[in-house]
Amino acid sequence: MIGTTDVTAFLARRRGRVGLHWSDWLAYAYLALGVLVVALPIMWMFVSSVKSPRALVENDPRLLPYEQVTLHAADGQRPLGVFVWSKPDGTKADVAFVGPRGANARVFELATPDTIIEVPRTALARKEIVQPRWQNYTEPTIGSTQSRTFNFLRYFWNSTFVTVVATVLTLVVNAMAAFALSKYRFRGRDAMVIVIISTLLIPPTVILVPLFITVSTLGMLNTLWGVIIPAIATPTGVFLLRQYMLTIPDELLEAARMDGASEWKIFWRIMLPLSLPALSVLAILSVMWRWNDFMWPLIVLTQSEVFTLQLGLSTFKGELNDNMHHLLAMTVLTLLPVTLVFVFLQRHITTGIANTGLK
Amino acid sequence: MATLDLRQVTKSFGATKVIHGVDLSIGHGEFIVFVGPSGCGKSTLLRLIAGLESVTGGAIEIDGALVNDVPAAERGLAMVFQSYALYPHMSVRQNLSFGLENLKTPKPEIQRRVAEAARMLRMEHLLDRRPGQLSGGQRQRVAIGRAVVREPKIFLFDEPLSNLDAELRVQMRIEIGNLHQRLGNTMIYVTHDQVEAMTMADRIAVLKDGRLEQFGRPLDLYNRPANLFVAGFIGSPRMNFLDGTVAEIGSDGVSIALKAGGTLKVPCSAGPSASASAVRLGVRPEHIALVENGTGDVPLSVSITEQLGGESYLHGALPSGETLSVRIPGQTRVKRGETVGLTLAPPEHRHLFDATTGLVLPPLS
Repeated sequence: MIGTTDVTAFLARRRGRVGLHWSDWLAYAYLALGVLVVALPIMWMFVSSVKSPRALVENDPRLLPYEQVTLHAADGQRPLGVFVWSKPDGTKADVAFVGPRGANARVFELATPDTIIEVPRTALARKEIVQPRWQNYTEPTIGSTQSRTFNFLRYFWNSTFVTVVATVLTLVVNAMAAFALSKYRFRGRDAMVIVIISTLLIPPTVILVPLFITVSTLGMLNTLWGVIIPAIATPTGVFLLRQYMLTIPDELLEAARMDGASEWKIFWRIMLPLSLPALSVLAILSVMWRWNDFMWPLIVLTQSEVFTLQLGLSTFKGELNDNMHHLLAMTVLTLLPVTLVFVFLQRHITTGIANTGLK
Repeated sequence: MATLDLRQVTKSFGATKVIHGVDLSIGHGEFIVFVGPSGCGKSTLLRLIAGLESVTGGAIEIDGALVNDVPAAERGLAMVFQSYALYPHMSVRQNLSFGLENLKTPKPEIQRRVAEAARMLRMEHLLDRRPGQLSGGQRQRVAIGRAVVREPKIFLFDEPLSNLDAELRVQMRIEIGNLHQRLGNTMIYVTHDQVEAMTMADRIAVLKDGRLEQFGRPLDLYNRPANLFVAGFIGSPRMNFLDGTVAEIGSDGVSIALKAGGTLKVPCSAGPSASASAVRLGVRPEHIALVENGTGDVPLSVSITEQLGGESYLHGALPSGETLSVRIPGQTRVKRGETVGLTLAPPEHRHLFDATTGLVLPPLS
């Protein structure tokens, strides 16, 4: 793990021995700009996910989730909005809004709830406090399921199943292919590597229709396996693992053969443990790919019981109504697992990307 | 009992032939060293025996059974690699027991053998470490230990000491020698270092360009080299070679006229060499004696003197321009630039080779 001192030393690294060299200023400015470009949209999403539907519909540009203060009317029937009334004499007072009358509003001062007065609406401004709306999170998840189309737990389970199973299978299948392509001499090996890598040149949209027909013929439509199986073998994974396995000395395999190990055993006991850095890179990539996948699940899965989270999120955006507040909150929840995976394994992925030049 | 026989073994990689028909017969318990310059095919030959490469032609037999098509895992041999090839993700204990697990050896037996090997190689305190935490010498011992626990029919060593420093190398050489004494197994050891070969081997196989040049006991190779290559390869510093022609063939030997001047008698039969054919005289540095300038067989103008205290070396040139080295016991007063006389070895230490074929002219017995 990286210690605090390392982080400080890393962040404080600079060219000038004393003070900041002009290139330090440039570098830090550039880095700060980069951080803003990347982080702002995500920060906006986090902040907006606790705003009220009203603030979102109004496109409230303020950063914090402001909410109008309300108080319950004496009859207990409905909440009354509280406004700040700028009196003609310049003083201000808090008033509760009872109802409109023409261009005026009928209000009462909070101190004297029984005296209803009429004031011009232009003299009123909302009285607001900062109040996050956590219901955005609770309503679609643990809230009442009545008339709710979004079943978070079900989608979460589907997404998790797809991600975990597809990642495990991806690792095993790609590692086997990479093992064969890196450690065995056979006719056509290099040609096969080239063919596998060149499939990277084919845009996924081109094979969408044949893939759909295959999956549908195999009866895998509306099953999670229809999402998992076509995604298992990836040229990126084979290439990444093969390049790494090439660096494992042949003598280790020969030593294992002299030790009487079968090829199967060499794969599991020698190759896989030694390929761990590359495998963890592929694992992270695969988790991100499968978790964030939208297009292919959208095609294969049409029934909401088998929806993944990404498909579920899309149901918030309807033709007639946008549940923006729920959409944002659930997007945050959807981001969390993959972010956590990244946080815990980022050491591997940065070295892995540096080694392979892939992302 | 483990004997090994190679019969006309050849190996080609594509169109390149690297082993040209090697015949070898190795008895039980022998310590055999394959020696030769790099690229001579000695490691390839070892890998053929191990089963890591398949032979192109000929036969390999272990204990009289043909093993050409038996995979490495089933030949019952153990190999120590030049790079040690320890499994980096396993502890020393796991490294040692991996081979036994593959053979489905019972657990208590594995533990017993690992403990015994660790005791024998004095590495009991290292058993729970990873190879990355060991020094070069310790790794070497683990690699040997991994071979020992298997109790193989034949041990194969592929230049195991070449990554160690000089001092450790001498120490490990002795340890491997002791190991051979104790276990009594057949061992085949590949090296390019003729000192290792001379000190360790029961018999040495000298290889060059995929051919077996000579196979015999170390001193036989030293005293009776079969050809120019073996003569030059065995012995340090190497044998001096002087060009000459056959002057006279007599019943008591061959007289040769040296290019450097003078004639010399060598007690050998001329064989196919006719009178006036080109020959090379081989004389080891330690068999040359220093005499007064103007006497002896040839004069040497000394260009370098090396004083090691216990012995000294003179390097210089003969009138013909040929270079020559002399080993003198003790210390010398000769300085560079001086000219000294030499007597070129007692007759029985003169070796005569045919200059075209490189083969030795057989000595008169």
